[in-house]
Amino acid sequence: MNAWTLYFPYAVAFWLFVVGCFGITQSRNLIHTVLCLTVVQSSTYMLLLSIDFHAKAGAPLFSSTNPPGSPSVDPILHALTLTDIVVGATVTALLLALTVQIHRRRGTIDPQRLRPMSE
Amino acid sequence: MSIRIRTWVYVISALVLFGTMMPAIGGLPAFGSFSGAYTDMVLRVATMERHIYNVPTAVNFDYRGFDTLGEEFIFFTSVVGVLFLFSGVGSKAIEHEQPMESQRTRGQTGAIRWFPVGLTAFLAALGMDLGAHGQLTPGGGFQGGAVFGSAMACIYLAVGLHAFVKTANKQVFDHLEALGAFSFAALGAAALFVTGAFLKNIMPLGQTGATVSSGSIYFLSCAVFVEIGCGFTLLMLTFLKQTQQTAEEEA
Repeated sequence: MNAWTLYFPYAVAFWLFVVGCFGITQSRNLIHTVLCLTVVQSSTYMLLLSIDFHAKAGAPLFSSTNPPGSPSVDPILHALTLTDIVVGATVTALLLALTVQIHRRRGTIDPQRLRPMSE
Repeated sequence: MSIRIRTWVYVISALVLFGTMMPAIGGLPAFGSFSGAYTDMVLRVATMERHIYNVPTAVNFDYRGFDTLGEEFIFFTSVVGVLFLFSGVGSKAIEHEQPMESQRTRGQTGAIRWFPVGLTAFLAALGMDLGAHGQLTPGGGFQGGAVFGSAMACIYLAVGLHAFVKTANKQVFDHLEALGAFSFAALGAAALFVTGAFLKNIMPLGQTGATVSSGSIYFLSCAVFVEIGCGFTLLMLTFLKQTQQTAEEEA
């Protein structure tokens, strides 16, 4: 592997973050905004998992045939990512529920047409 | 803020971020060569100390148990938030009357109708298997709960909303979800009471590789499984009810 491929996964994580933020700034629909936020969030998974990877290691999962202490990828980053995916899905559901309520109260889910509550 | 100003603010921030991220990425260990002190340590000691084969589960429910308690309560509050936002949603047709056969189910052939039924059974079994064996094989409470929630959603696909609402009784799932969240905290508090350290392993560790092993980790994982499984089911239940109500209002 040359130097470019050695840093490419980090560049992908950065790209996901930036492109998700771009989507949020340009959004004309709150559902689209929420989905852009999940793209931003997946950049953290990309970063964690690309740090995690080890070229000559197996899964952090031992058994009688793969005795404890054999070379393995980082279990800590795996643990961080897996809880985050599950919890992230729920937070997305909460944001979508908020979107439904906004549509009921204000009649629009275009963030650029939503005005402060006092008006 | 107009869209044009917003775009400019974005472009400038993105360029600044790009300029600072490039040296930061250059300073990271090359892909595939990171080796942290904690990684080596936890891989070496986890099986010995906790009688567990699946190290990420050990990290989640033991070494990082307190953080997982936090994550679990983020999950819990999100579900409560959704339920709160949709409180008062209840379709009369679903709650009281005979099942409304939707247009969609009427035209289905038997194969399409019964495939999701089989899938429900398979996914429910798989979810429980993942949830109960997180200490031995890939899995654990979080993954198992998510799969179990999908199994519940398959009931909706198979026989429609009425059957889903009947099976996934909201009262029962509400209480089970709260029980799951409470059990995690209660196990932590029990450890505090017994040993003086929150979430310390207080259960017998058992034999490495046995179905019930790894001490508190097993029970914490089961508590999380109940919470996540019920939480996902409640989320889908609430959203589907909301959809149904909107459809009825429009009709």
